[in-house]
Amino acid sequence: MAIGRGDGLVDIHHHLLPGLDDGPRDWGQALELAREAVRAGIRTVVATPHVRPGQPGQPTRAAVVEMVDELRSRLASEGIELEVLAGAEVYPVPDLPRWLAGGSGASWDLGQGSQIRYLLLDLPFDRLPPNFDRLIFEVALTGVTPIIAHPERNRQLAERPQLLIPLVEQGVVLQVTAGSLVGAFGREAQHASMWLVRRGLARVVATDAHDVVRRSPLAMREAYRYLSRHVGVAMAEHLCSRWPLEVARGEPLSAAPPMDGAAPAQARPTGVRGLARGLRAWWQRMASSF
Amino acid sequence: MDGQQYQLAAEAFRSLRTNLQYAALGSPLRILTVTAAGPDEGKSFITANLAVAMAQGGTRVLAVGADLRRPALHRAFGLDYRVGLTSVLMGRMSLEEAVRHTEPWGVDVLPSGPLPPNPAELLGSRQMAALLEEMKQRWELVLLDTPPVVALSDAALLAARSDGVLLVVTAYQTPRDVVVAARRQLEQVGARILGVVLNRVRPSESGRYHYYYYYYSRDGSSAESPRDGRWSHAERPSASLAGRATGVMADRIPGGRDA
Repeated sequence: MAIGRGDGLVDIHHHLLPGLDDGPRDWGQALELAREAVRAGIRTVVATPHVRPGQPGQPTRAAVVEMVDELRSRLASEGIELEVLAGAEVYPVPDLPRWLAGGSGASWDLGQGSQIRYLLLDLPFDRLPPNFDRLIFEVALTGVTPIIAHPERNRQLAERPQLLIPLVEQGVVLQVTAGSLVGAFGREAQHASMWLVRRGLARVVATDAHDVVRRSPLAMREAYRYLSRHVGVAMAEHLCSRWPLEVARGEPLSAAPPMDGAAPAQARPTGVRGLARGLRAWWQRMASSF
Repeated sequence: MDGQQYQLAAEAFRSLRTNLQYAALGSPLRILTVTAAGPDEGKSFITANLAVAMAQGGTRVLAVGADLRRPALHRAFGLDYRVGLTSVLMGRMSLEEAVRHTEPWGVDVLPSGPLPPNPAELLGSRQMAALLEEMKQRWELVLLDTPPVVALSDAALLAARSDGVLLVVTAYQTPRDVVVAARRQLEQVGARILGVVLNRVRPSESGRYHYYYYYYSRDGSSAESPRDGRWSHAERPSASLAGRATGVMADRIPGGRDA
């Protein structure tokens, strides 16, 4: 089955399944959330309940798939046109690489049976875990591409989003939350998320929807409009539709489109001075990654 | 790049191959490190094309993406970098599982693999030394594509374990003192610098080039603005490698197979 129809918005981070986490409590609330997603222009949702590997009482992949099946039939009987896929938002415990390699986690990827798979990683809200770059490397060695969920809502990263540059160079995909872009989580999160978008570091916008009040899927539509206005329609479509669709399909991400309102390309100095400047900038990037 | 320029480029790589064979006379050349003084000098392009020229000369070649900072070698061959050298070094898979044979070129390629937070540590490890030994047993020539030598220790670490080093320098651009610093760093670790490849030489001057003057460009405009012709910027530079360049190299290099 082909995933996504190529039109409409795609939401790869959405707590749509009832009773598994702090998302909807019952099927009624879940359906309400689904209707709201459709109203926001979303066509495809990856349902991503919180999973903390190694903890007792966590939802299993089988349970999530089963609930997604049930949700699909409920959506069909309600006439709600929303495609739903099974995923997870995984907490980056130190044991994560072993959990992934052990097979229990390998099926938690967001992709559907293709070569490049993605794993949505939650972050603590205050600081990056120690040795996080090491953890990312070990996760990548298991064959999945890590996606970092809402880095702009991490206090340390909101203050210093440049800390993410070495991680992106390591191959990590950054997901910013729609609400952050439109200011729902404060100025700092908004600044940080727009900084990540303008620098071309963020590749995916998602709702992280939990309910229809505080963290509603409608933020996706607002974010799409906001991005169209500030960085251009092409970039908005890539962030809200094309790239997340590629993630959901397990495909590599396509190249970035031109961005409106980006800092004007400065004439690059050439010759000895240009090279010296390039070397210096490059060395600073390197030094900051140690 | 028009046909004539392709021929120039192919000719350049062919004589680079020959010069290397002369430079290595007297002592075996099994592991060759390709590095540059600074960033963006086109060393992955040089590595890939040298590998192709060597393979078409009948040598069994392994090209290794040992640049764990900004890997580019995989792109030249249209490969994914996510499985490769680091996967082997970290014991996730064996060398034969990770090596890809690129059919049109006859080159075996080991891409970088996932990028580690500590490249120098990994490249200087005992596992890496053992892996280089294993590669030496199984290929006649191992080409290592490495990060720039100035400011990073990665290339020097590998150069010390290689039989020789090629230093890539951008014509008219790399400052003399940067090249001197690069040479000093390589000599400090006892590396044997076999030669310097001068990249992006203007075609107008290529008429009077001698051994170490090579020209390349993707679109013929690189001489005036280094970024335009920057080969690594192409979506899939392999297309140019696969298409015309290989055609030139395979068909028009005299004695290609039995050189």
